[in-house]
Amino acid sequence: MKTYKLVLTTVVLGLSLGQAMATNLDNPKGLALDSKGNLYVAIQGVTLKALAARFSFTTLVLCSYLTKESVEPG
Amino acid sequence: MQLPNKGIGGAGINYPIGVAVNSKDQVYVANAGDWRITVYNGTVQDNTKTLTQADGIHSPSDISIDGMDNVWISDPTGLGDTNIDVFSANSAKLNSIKTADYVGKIAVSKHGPFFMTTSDVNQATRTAYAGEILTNKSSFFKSSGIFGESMTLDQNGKAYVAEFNGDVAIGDPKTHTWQVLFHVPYGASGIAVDNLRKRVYVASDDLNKIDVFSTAGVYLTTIQ
Repeated sequence: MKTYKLVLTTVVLGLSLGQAMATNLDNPKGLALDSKGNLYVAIQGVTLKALAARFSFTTLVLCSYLTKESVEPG
Repeated sequence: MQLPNKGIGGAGINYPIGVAVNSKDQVYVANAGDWRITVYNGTVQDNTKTLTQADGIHSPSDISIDGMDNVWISDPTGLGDTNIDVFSANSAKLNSIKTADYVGKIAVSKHGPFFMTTSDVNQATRTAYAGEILTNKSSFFKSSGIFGESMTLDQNGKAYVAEFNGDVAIGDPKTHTWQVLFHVPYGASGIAVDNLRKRVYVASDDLNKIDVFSTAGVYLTTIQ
């Protein structure tokens, strides 16, 4: 049972990291910043992405998945 | 990255064409797909602030927020002209200014004057100072040879304009002076300036990326 949990955890973690590496900015149409320096990107289609600026921007692409959120229809 | 729905609920985003953030970090989205303005507190949609056709919204092309949290929306009519609609932070309509041209992008300073990209009779897009347009005077942007595709204002009211030819120029509305800050090999679909971190973000919808520069014009990185 523990083995299964470990494998499952590893797979989920791997998928999460895999997603984080691909920001996938498909057809960005507009940009705006909030007071904390978070960058909002209007993506053509049905997505608004928020790229967190809690780290220096040189590491943003790697670290943004920690707080990055997408606004999508329910 | 497409994360799962974070609890927004409802179809609040439909071909977003512009985004703006007010002083309370509420996020306003201009949706070209269903002609609505939707507002978010974090990831939670604030339905009390949604603007629709019933509020006079027709086909928003961009959105900007001034220093009093008033919301400015460029709203082309489809007949070649554009209404610039102004709403209060409580979504009450304050004003509607008609311009003779198609307005693609709009940026509002903290102190009131606003700027927009417009199409002239030759379908060339220029960036115009609205006060001059409204009094039928020539635009200082145009007379400076600036042809903008997208633009933003920094906290000091200086204009950053991404031109069709790839030049990103910074202009001072008070002195009418311009200088090219850096060049990108595309016409930018969006631009934003972070004065605190001294960053300029330039988006390309053709190349699906955002290039990041310092405010001194030095290339830093690319988000893709």
